[in-house]
Amino acid sequence: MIQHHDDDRLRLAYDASVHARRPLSGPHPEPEALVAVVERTGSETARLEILDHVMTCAQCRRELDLVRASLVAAGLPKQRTWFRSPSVGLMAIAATLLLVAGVKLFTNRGTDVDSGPVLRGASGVATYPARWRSSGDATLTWRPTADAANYRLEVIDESGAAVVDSTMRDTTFVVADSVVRNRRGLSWSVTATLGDGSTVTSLPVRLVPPAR
Amino acid sequence: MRTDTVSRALESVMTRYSGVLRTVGARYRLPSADLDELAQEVRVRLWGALSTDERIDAVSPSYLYRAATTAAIDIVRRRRAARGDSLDVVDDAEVSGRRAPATPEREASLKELGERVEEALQSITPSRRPVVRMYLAGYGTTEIGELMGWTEAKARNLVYRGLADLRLRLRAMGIDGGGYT
Repeated sequence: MIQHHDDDRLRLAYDASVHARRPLSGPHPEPEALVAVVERTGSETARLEILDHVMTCAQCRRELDLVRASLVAAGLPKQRTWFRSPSVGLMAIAATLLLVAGVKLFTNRGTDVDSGPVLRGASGVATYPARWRSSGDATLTWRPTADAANYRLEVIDESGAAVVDSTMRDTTFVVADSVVRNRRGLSWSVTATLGDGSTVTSLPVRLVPPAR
Repeated sequence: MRTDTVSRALESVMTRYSGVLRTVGARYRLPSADLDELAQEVRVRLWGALSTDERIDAVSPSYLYRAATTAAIDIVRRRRAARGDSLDVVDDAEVSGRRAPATPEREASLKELGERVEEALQSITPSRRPVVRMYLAGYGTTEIGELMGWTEAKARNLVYRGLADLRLRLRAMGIDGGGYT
């Protein structure tokens, strides 16, 4: 969870300031632009610009929520996300197969976590520090969570794009050097899906290759 | 006879639509008056179309979706027109009911902190700012992900980094992690 004990106060302060003053930036977006945000049409940059205004304007926020509610209630079509895109999807499948092969190769050679556990994350899924091999591959390991049906590992780059998004039952995963090489600002997290369908997630941890 | 068939088809669609609308509207904390107005607009649109259509046995999902979209757009336009297209005067009547009552001192302190937060927000990377605003406005990381078409993990990551930026700026302004007491 990201929630810090200060977040609530920041949110209250932000709310108080939004309702105490005029909106800060730009003209109010047309209603069609609010529809575009909800339908996720148009560029992401343009939608973020609209949201930058909407989140400073109490009326626009209420209008956005009204549009969202109406469209969702009428059955908002499923939008395409990066992993649903045919081209990116195929690349993701190919990358996953390569990574699975990597996992099998390296797990057959024995475990990487040979020192005492240094766990990160007080609640949710507890992760161990990444272990780097001389080949440049990184072994990511986390502690088994009671009643976990599976684990979803996500490695995200600086822009927030997922470079690894894999679901498994194992509690270790080898990320190939080719995946992490030349990428900046990587971080990883694990989400465990429990038997009752609920999920718990680790804190995001930076994945920084050692200097060569 | 035909009117009865139209009414039944319409009521069936409206029951489903209104039910989901209530649930979603409650999640977004929309006033029930807004939801009533929206449902009524959609009903009028469907009735107008169905009463002149020979094939009325079922309302297609795409028609309902179009009706819901135009109804929402029209309501927004109508409200803006009623306000003289001026949103500068913020109507705080409904939203104030959603917030916890505060003493004048506490309210003033929050507003002051809010102004500093806004100042700090202006100095963080523009691409990160909307996500932080969404989080501060009360959107959770799951909701941000849904709205933007991101995985929850990506939304969480961007919020995490944006908040880190914000806190750095606040610290530079002499405010420790947002605590302003």
